[in-house]
Amino acid sequence: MTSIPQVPSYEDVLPVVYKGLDELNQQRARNQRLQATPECVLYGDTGSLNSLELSNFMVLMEQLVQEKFGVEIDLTEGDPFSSESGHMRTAGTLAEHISNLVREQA
Amino acid sequence: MPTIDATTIDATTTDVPTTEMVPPVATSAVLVREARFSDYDPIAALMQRYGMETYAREDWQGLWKGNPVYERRNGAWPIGWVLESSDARVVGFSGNIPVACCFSGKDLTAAATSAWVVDADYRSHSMLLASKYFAQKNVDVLLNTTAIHVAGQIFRAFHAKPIPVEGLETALFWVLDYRGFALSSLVRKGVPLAGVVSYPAGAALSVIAAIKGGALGGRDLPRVNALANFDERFDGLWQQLKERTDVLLSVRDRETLQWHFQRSQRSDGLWIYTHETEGRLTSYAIFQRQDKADVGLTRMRLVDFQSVDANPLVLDAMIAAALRRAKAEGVQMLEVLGFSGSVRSRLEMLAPFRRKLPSQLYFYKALSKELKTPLANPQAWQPCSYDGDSSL
Repeated sequence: MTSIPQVPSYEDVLPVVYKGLDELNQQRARNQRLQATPECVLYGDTGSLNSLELSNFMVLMEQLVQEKFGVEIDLTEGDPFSSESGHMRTAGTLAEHISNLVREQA
Repeated sequence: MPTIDATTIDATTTDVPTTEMVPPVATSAVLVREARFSDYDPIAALMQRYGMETYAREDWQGLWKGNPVYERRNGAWPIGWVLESSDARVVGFSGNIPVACCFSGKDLTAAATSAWVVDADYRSHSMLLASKYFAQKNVDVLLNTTAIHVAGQIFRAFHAKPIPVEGLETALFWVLDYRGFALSSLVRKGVPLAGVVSYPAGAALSVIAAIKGGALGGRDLPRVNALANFDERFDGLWQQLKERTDVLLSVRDRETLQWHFQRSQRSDGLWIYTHETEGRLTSYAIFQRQDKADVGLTRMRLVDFQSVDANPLVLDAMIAAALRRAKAEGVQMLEVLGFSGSVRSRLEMLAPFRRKLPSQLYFYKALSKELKTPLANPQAWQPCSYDGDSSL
């Protein structure tokens, strides 16, 4: 049984984001798959996800966080696509944001 | 006006300042800002590039100017948002139309999204438009009544829900010109030699219609009247309709109906049928011309039906009147989208044909906390093409 950290850190959340990326990658051509790194761009001018993929990924991440940490989060709040501060910019910014959201609810 | 066109989102005006002037938000090369009436030309050009229906400038502005909610708010309402590229080209747009509603005796404001289009090179930035739409304040409910599949997925991501009414993914229809209807269907499907094939296909349709019959013929139906305009009696009926406190209803007073259907009335594309009881207006049906010119389809749609009559034959009589007129005017089909409860059941009994829509069209998100639970109840909805932007 996987132990669930009470207040997950960035390092705890990052593998969950990678799991989401892995599921997303299964729908993509081999040469278009995203790298599981904190710098992986999700949204922005160099991002390769279209709006349908972004939508599905956000829903998937909310489900994974619920399963892993038992917390309901809403990734659509807080200007997710802002170029300066949006949490949907990279895998790393998303993990940081989820970590903060889960901490707030802990 | 369609909200999101399948071909656009990878799959969805004077310069009166609206709300507070929010500083534009940049995402590197793309900027999102509130739309202005002066954006009409680039927005219309963008929509045309993706095969979407566009309005004349005055008609487009009329979605807001003259809109009773927009006017009551003195223009303090974002008419939509545009995406601008680094060279200041408009590369995306989503409209935002205020709609007056009523629920549990309270006056509410819904925001209907409309005409969502994003240039193919900027597809992922659709999410910027969506986040602006879903982040707006001073709105009770967000509505999308013309969503295609991708729009539906974006709406789900932003925690919008399909309107919880069964049957909304199925359209009901009658065919008046079998061969003409068959031809337009075959053209839409890209069938070779559609003109030739349409003869046997039309004959087959007429046989199916004869077998299925429909429950309209051979009975004495209540008398209905055809009106050219909405008169003051519609205010009286609306007062009665809004007493049904358990249903979210778009406002249907005379002023709002006149604004809503002004464009259709100008183009002679609106049929209004009414029924009176003891001199009072007690039911009405509105049929709107919604052709699909690219495939040669001529179509009337039942876009609204409201009644305080207990007699179900009133609806039958209005459908029968519309079918007679459609036949006389060479309209190929009469179609119905939406409706619920006894009205939907009656329509399902009457209509000989049905077609599955490509996706669920109706989505909502309750922003007011007190609406979240009641709107999850199917009984709270009577969706039809009058809601949102479907018949604007």
